[in-house]
Formats: sequence, structure tokens, C-alpha cells
Amino acid sequence: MKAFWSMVKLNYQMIIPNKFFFYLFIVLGFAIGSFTFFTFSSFKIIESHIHWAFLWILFAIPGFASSLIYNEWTQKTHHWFLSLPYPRWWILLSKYVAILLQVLLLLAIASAIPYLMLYLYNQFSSTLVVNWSALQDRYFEVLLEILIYFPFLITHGVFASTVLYSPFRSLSGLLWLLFGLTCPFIVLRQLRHAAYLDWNILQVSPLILLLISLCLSLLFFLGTNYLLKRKIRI
Amino acid sequence: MNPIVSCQQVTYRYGKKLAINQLTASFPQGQAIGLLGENGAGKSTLLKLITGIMQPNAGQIKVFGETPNWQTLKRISYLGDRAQWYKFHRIQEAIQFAQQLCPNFQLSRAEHYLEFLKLNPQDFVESLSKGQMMRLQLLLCLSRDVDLYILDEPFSGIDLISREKIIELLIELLAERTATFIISTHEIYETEGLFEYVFLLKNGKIVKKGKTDQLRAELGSIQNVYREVFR
Amino acid sequence: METRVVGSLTFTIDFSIPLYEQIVEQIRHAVARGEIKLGTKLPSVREMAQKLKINPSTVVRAYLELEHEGLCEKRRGQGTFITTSEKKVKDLKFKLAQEAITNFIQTMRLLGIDQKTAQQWLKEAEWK
Repeated sequence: MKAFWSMVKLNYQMIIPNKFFFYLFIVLGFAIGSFTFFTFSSFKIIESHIHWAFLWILFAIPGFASSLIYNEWTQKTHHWFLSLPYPRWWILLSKYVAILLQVLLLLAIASAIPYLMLYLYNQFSSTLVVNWSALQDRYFEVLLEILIYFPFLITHGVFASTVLYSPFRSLSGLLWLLFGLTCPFIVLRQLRHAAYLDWNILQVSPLILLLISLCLSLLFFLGTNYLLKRKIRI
Repeated sequence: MNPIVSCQQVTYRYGKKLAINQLTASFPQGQAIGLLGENGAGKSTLLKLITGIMQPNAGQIKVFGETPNWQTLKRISYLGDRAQWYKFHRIQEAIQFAQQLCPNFQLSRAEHYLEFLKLNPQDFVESLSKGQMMRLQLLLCLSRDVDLYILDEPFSGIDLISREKIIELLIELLAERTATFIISTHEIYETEGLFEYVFLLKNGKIVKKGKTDQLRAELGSIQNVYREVFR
Repeated sequence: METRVVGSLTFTIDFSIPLYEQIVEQIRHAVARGEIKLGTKLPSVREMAQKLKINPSTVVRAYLELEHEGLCEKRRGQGTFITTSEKKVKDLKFKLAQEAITNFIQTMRLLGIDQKTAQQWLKEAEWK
């Protein structure tokens, strides 16, 4: 177990090395802060736009995932992680957990900043009226929905970037196309109330979404495990 | 004596290119074995197949009598060719990490080698020179107490002092342990005294093998044998 | 060929001849010439291997061979020592001299010089 967590720590540091964390924090704070400021200076109803503050984090996941695999190969550390005396699924799992932790941290930061700013703004200005209970409901709804996509996006990112180092590398384009199709779905689904979209596909219940996400991630996980075990090229 | 590694008709292809071509060989136990050959002869590929990182397209490999899998990796210490350690670690962190992940990692030995190889544990891996990087990776590899050490090109492209240090360390280890060492290299001059047994690899096939002293008696120095084979 | 010094011994390593034979040969000569005193300790296997940059098992093999000949003896926990027996050295000198004579005769015969002439020349040659 100790070994697992030090493996997670290694992967975690590989996504964003510690020394960059400070700068990342500043950039994030500035970006989200200014976004929130502009939003509530131009919109009346903040609740229906608040998802923009952290929905983008979903699209950082493939980046994190592929950087975890891509860096191993380009920095020539792949010999090491592939020759560790642990099963491949164990190593994969540590990568998944590292991405999950990193993304959860980002999500926490990105969702806390607008909330805090709204609170402060509300204290000192009377032009903005915030419906707190509606806002909290919206927060809850969006965050929950984002969590549904996590398993799918994490396993997909790792799979699509591992495929590059196997004989099936030409399939990688197809996989990213799949990701390209899910992006508008995720965005439009958030927009459907504000934009009055009544397409059936956008109305799917979160439970079914979760089911699909879990099934696909299991598929990607098994696929990556198979590639690492049998087909990897170094 | 049972061979520690045996290969039967092993073939490996990168796309259409044949890297290992129906290779059959058995590696004797408890010796320092040299795997010699030009760049692209298939040395690295063969070693990767032995560790089980890659799987052969055809044929069979047995390590300790088993098909290579993650369990056999517990008894193998592998240094890949042109491998690098994670840049964001300090040397100290790298050693800690290896200790937590590798069974049989001897911390006291690692500390001893740290001094022997003149590495500063506070240095970042990112700031190391090529030779220092190789020293660090060798330290991580050799601090493990295993039955088979596989070192892929540990001498290539590094400075003279590092090379001498590494050779010294290897001799120290050979005197200490009865493990098997498989070392691939194309720089024979400095290392030819180290090997007890050599395999010469050309175009994915073994073209010559034997005990070094026997080869010397029959054909002259290993360098000469090498020249003859590859000219 | 390279010359390497280990303690009081000097070795010339030629990689085209089996290495353990060279070590045996050169220690033998050193003893016969009196370059090593009788009863001195030989360098440890590790030191020898380090200095000559060769595999320790080659050194072990060489030492075993010398032991077998009776030129060295192993003392438990102390290392390998040159024999203290004068007779052994005498035997060795005789053996090496015989080898040199055999070589000499071989060369003379190849040059087409008969025994008588060779002996005559040997008498006239200066021993310096």
C-alpha cells in the first residue's frame, strides 16, 4: 500500500511538478477571478452561468492523462515504470488515482474562488442580488455531473495516448474523435436550460450517463492493460 | 547447471523490420555475460524481451524457468538503454522511491554507493550530467539484491571518469555477489576483462558465443573476434 | 598491451591470451626472479581485480592454479601467501629454465644451426 501511494505521488508530481504549482495557482486565481467578475457585471442571473467557471477542467483531463504517458516516453523514464515488479493494472491504477487527485484539487480551487468572490461582492455592493439557495443547487448539480465524466475522460486519455506506443497507433485519431464528439455534448448539456434546447439526447438522466461512463472506462482500462502487457513498444 | 535465461527460436518484429531473428541461446548462471554487437543488432530488444517488457512475436523465452511476467521482475534489476530518471526528483527522493517500490532494496548499500560514486543526495536529477545520471541509475539498479542484473549499454556516451567509476563498482559487485550479470555494450576495449562469457549479436542472430578465455586462446582478444565478425 | 601495477607487482595484460594464464605466468616469473620475497602476502582478489580491471573470478582461478602448483598457499581468513619453501622455488626455476632452453633450441633449429655451433656460440656469448 505504501508502494502504491509513492507511485501515485510520483505520477502526481509528473503531471505538474511542485515548483510550478505556485504559478499555476496564481494564474488560476486570476483567470477564474476575472471571469467571475465579468460574469456578474454583465449578467443578471449568475446561477445559470456559473458552470463556466469550472466546466473547462474536464478538458484538462485528457491533457493530464496524455502528459503522464507522453512524458514517460519523451523523458525516457518508461524503462523504469515498465520494469517495476508490479502488475500492469496496478501501475495504471496509480496513474488514474494521480490524475483524479490532481483534477479534484483543481476543481476545488476553481469552484471555491467564484463562490468566495460572489460572497465578498455581495457584502459590499447592493447592485447584485444573489439567490444563494439557487446558486448552491446549481453548484451541486454541475459538480455532480462533472464527476460523472471523470472515469470516462481519465481512462480515455490514458488509453488514447498509450495507443501511440503500440502497433495500433493509427487508431489514436479515431479515439480523439470520440473525445471530440463528447465535448459538445458536455457543453450543450449544461447550456440546455439557458439556450432552450430540447433535444432528447441532451435530456438523458445522469444515472444512465454514469452507467455509460463506467462501462466505457472499464473497456479503456482493459484495453490499456492489454496494450501495456502485450503490445507496448519501447 | 541450469541456464538462467533460455531463448528458443525467438523472433521479434518492429512493423516489418526483423529485430530478433529466430534466436536460440541459453545464458549461464552466476557469470558476467557480455552481449556484444553493433547499434541496431537487436541487443536492447533481446534484453527487453528477457525482462518481459515486450513480448516476442514467435518463440519462447524462459527466465528462472518461467515465461517473463511481472513476478519474475522481482528477481531482475533492469537498466534500460538511454534510460533517464524522473527529472523533478532529488537524488535522495529517487532512492527513497526505489526503496519503497522495489523489494530487496538495500538502503545501506545505496548510501555506500552514493559515497563511492561521488553523488550529492541533495542534487536535483535535472541538474545532473549524463555521466552522473548513469551513475545514479546504476546505483538504483545495483542496490537491489536480485538474481539477475540486466544492464543495457551502461558505458555508452558518458565521460571517462564516470565510466571508470562504474567499472570499479561492477568489479566490486562481482567480487561480492554470485548473481548473474548480462551487460550489453559495443565498447569492448575497457570492458573486455570483465566478461566471463560473451555473445556476439548480428542482425538479430547470435553469430558467436563462448567463454572469453576460451575464445582468447582460440582466436585472440575479444576485440579481434568482434572485428572479424562485424567487418 | 597495458602495464598495471598492483602493490609490489607489475602486470602486463594482453587481451589476446587467456587472462588467468597471464596472471599465473607473471607471478611465477616474479617469484623465480626473486622480485617477491618468499612468504609475502599476495594482493587480495578484490584489489587485484580492481587494479587489473578484470573479473574477480579470473583472479580466483589464477590463484587456485598457483595453489595447485604449490607456489602459493591459502591461509584461512588471511589471504593467499607465496610459499616459504625454497625447494619449490628451485623447482620452479628449473622448470622455467627448461622452458627457456626448449625455446632456444627451437629457434636455433628453425635457423638451421646445429647443436655444436650453438653450444660454441653460447660459450662465447657474454653473460651480462
